[in-house]
Formats: sequence, C-alpha cells, structure tokens
Amino acid sequence: MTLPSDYDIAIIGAGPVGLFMANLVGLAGVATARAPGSIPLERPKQIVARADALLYLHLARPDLDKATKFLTDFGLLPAARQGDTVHFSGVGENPVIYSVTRAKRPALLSVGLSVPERASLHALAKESGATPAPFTGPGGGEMVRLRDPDGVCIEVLHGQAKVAPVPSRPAIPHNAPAQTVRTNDTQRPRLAPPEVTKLGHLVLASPNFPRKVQWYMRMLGFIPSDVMCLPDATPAGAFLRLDRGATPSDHHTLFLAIGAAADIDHAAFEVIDLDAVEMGQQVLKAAGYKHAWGVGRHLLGSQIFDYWRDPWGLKHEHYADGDVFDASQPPGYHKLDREGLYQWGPDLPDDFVAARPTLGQLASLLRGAMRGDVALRPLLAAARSMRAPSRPWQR
Amino acid sequence: MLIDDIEYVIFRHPDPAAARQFMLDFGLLDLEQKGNSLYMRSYGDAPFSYVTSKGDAAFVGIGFRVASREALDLLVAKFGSGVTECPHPGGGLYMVGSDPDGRRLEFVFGATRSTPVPSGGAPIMWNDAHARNRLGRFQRPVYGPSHIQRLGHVALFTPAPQQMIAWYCETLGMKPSELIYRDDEANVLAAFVHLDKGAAWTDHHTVAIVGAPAPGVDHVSFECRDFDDVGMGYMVMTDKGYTHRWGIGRHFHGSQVFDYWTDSAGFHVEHFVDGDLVNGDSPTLKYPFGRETLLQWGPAFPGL
Repeated sequence: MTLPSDYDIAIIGAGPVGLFMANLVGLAGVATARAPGSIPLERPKQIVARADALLYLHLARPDLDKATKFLTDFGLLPAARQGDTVHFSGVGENPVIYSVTRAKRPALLSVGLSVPERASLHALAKESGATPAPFTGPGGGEMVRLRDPDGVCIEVLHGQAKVAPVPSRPAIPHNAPAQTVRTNDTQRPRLAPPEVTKLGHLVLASPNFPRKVQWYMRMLGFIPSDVMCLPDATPAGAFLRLDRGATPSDHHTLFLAIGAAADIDHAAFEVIDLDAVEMGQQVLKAAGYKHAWGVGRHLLGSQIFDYWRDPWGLKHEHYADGDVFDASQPPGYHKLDREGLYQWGPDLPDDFVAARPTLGQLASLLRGAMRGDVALRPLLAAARSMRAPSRPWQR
Repeated sequence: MLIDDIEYVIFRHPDPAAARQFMLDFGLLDLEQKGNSLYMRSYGDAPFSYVTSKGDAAFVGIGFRVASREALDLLVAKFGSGVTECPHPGGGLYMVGSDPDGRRLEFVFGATRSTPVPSGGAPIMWNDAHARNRLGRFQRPVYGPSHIQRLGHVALFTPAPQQMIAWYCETLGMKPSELIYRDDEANVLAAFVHLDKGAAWTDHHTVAIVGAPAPGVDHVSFECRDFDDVGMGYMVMTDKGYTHRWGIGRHFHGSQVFDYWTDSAGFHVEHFVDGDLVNGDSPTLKYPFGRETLLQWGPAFPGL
C-alpha cells in the first residue's frame, strides 16, 4: 500500500495561534499556503480624484495602414486624422476611443480617463506637479498628464465634447424554455465587424504590483472588485472599477497584475451582445488574423470574451455581458491561477499568459531588483501559479 | 391540431449502460428500467424523453404527444392501427404507426405529466451594451451537466426527401418553415417542418427531413436551460472525454445556439437554446443549398 506523499494542512484563522502554527509548519520545511483574502489589499486613506470613465488608448505602431485595417475589421470606426495620428471611435458618445501614431517601434503611448469635476484636474495637477493643458485630440477639453509608477502616461481629461452615438442594432432577445420573447422572427445578425460601443477595460502588467495598484486607487479613486492572490495570500492582481457612487460601473475598467515587464497585456472593447462577439470572430477569422482565445465566459467579471491579436501581437478583446457594481460592493479574493480566468470556453492557450520576457526586460527586472523596486519572489510565484493547468482533463 | 409536441426518442444500443452514462453527463436524469427498456427523463414535465434497450445500434423512432382523444382517433383512422394502453412511464393511450421509411412513430394521449425538476436559475439577465439588467450580481452558472428541459427535434435522413416532407405534412399536419433546394426551387433537398398549432407558437422545426442515400437519423436535439447551460455542458462533456462533433455555434435555420456530441454508438445528440418560434401564419421560406446556411457563427461544419 502506498501512502500519498502530499497532505494539505489547513490552519484556520490568522490570529496569534494560527500564525505561530503556520510559522512552525513553515520552519519544518512545509510549504505554507494561506487562504486568498487573509492578506487584504490595503486601501488608501486619502483619494486625490475619482475618475468616471475610461476614454481611450493611444498606441505607437510602425504601419498606420496595417493598424487601420485591423482596427476597422475589429469594429472600430476611423474618426479623424491629425498628422501621423489616426483616431478611432466606436458607436458610443466618445469622439475617440483608440488612437494610433506612426513610430518605428510599437509602444503604449498613453491611456485617457476622465474626471467629472474640474477641481479634480487641479487636485491631480497639484499632487503630481503637472500643469493642466488643453487636450488637442478630438473633442478638446482640458487635460493633466500623469505618469504612473511604471512611467505609463495617464491623460486625465475634463470637458471633452461628446458626439451623437451612431445608431446600433438592438440587443437580441433570447428565447428560453420559460421565456418566449421572440416569435415569428429569426436571430440573424449581420456578418460584419461588430459595433463597438466603448473601450471597456485595459490590462496592465507591472513588476511592482503593490506600488502600481496603490497609485491607481489613490490618484484616480479606483475600487477593487476582485483581487487575485499568490499561494501565500499576497495580492498579485486586482480588477479595479470606477467609483461612480450609486451609478453602476463595469466590474473592471483596469486589471493590474504582476508581470515581468511594465506593459499592456490587452485592451477590451464592448460589443452589443453575444452574437456580436461571435460574428466578430467570423469576420476576423475570415480576414486571417491570429486568434488568441475564445469564445468563452470569464469568471471574474462574467464577460463573454473573444481575443484577437493585432499585427504586432497585442491582444484585443471583444466582450459582452459583463457584471456591473455600484461603489458599495466589497472586494472578492481568489487564487491567482488559470481556473480563475474562465467558467467555460476552449482551453486557455499557453501563449495567452506565458509570454517569455525579452533580454531587455530581464535586464530591467534585475536592475529593479537591485534597486529594491522589484521583488522577484512574487513574480516567480505568480509564474508558477499560472503554469498549472486549469481543468481536470488537462492534468 | 393533431400533435402537441415531440416527446421522446427511441434508441437501441449494444451497451445501454454506456448510453445511460453518456446521457447522464449530457444532461438527462435517470427514470427507470422496465424490462429491457431504460428510460431517462428531462427536467421538464414530459413523462420521459429518451428510451433505449440492448441490441444492435439503431434509431428506432419518435414519440409524439397527441393533442386530444379526437386527434388520436383521427390518427388511428389514418394509420389503420388500434389504440392500446401505453406501456411507457406516464401511461395513457397510444397508437403505433410508421413513416414511409419504416421509422416507428408512437402517438400518446393522456399520459400523466411529470413534476418538473428544478434546474437552477431563472433565465439569464443580460447586460448588453444598451441595457444593464444584471446589477451587483455575477453570472456564475454551477459547474455540472446541462439541464435538459425537453426533447426539441429530430433530424432524419431519407432517400426521397420530397415524398417524406409531403407525408409528414399531410399525415401529421406539419408545415415547412423553410425548404432547402438545389439549383431549381422545385428540387427540394431538405425541409424544416413545424407542428400545426394554429395561432400558438411552436418550434421552428420539430422534424428536419434531409435527403441522403439511405434512411437514418442525423441527430436528436434537446433544449437546455439557457446559453450558459450549453457552455457548461461543453465543459463537462470535454472533461469526461466524450467525442465532440460540432459547436458551439448558432444555426441559420431556426437560429438555435447549438453544440453536438457523439455517443458510444455513434449517434449525434445536440444541446440547443434560443430557437425561433413560428405559428400557422408563418410563411414557408425557400433557400438554396449552401454551407453558409448551416450556421451563422461557430466552428466550420465538420461534415456528416
């Protein structure tokens, strides 16, 4: 008879006794794991400003024509051109949700957010030492340009003019066994790029997650909706939503996560409904783009998702049916793993999460570690957590 | 009105135990073993939805629920066979006939309805881009087999589709929702036919009739609780290592969101939700045969 070599020891409670026991077990050479949530994500006591919308993403791309072709196939609408910059809108009220500027190398140039009050611009200016300046892109308005702790340029706007939404098809009503809502009518969405209603969320990776998440919560008032934790319960990723008081906000407008390089992982765009996500897949498949993952349903945020790579490998997500919360919902805590990424859908491809860091990124990581800016252990723990297969049939 | 609805399918399997396990994982529930017959039910109010018995693999036939005693008598007159006590779960009266391919057709009247089994969750409240209907709540279906509500339709192969379509329409009062032709509109290859229920709404098709070299069945199709029930069903069936045929996608004819699996004897079974509904006023539409009308979105059709 063989005995199993792995035992799980659960130590319930993180009081003096529990922690002492965990320490003893740890000292005896047993790897300890703590329940997600036993280390809460600390919230800032003072908040500088509260952002109320994610506006746009601004990227550098070597080939504007190629970028335009991909983005229009993806469903964005060319809106304006200023020199070497092309602006795109969706069918919503924002005059620009995506801008591309010609440059030698692909890069993240900036992220645009808005604040509802002018006073917030000045509070942000005072806090950061930046000076408010006119926003020269579509819609105009006033802007403060901030740098997040990783140097990502965050443009905070106030007073940008909105545009009249482009009429879009109504959402498809679903017949269900106890719900007859569509009679003598078929379900036949157009085979065309989906109507994109807005830039929904961005996912940013950082070698120093704690510093990054604190900055967004403090400077722009983001609220954690769900926090993903390492086996020792250290928070290593957070789904952040906008604080709009009693007005519901998307489950996440930003997802910040630990990663080898400070970079954008993907940008997500909302489409009308499930059928728009699926028709989008048909169009992008026919056009020969590289599919990244989908269609499936996420766990945290519940979106129905489909991911495609642009010609430079950046993931672009179509989504529909995400959760929404007002400011009162407390954060949830979960293990950081592949299983936490989806409820159903195709298996998560390895290259979705396991991009190898470049030599330059490794060098910058090591420099960060030597400066004390970057802790390597959580990075390695996160990489390990994300390697484990998510589903029984993959084991 | 002759027929209320399609109610059950009759199979034979060399290994009924394997068929049972497959259908349990697919989303049916155990009901009873009666002699040679293994009965399984859905979550809805049908006495049963599926029956198989040991033997060479075969799709034996279809059971329909008859609308009234008068309708049963009308069918008796058409088929020239007699009414007897129905031996299946739920009892009632029944009459047995066959279609021109020799497929067994059973017509049941007055069977006792089953108490529906709770299948978890109301219809999904969708947060679409225009309207937020699900506030402060998550969309988290429980991981587990689908919750099959009822048998929805069968898709039959027949060497003489036009005669078969005419037979189902004349004998059973059905009507084509859509006809598929090749080259010439008169050259009908396939039809999706619905029940005659007057002004009441009924599924876009209860029987699909498809031209093929030999009589047979392409698939039998079961309606799930909702869209995520199809998605979760996919996860469970993948988990158990069953053979996936095709899906998840949305059909063109009937608009169902579909997912097809293949059982141990090679029979295809379909999960579906969100099909179209038609009634007696719905016109019959005609479409040329083409791959693009097999689906609107989803993976490419893998072939028959």
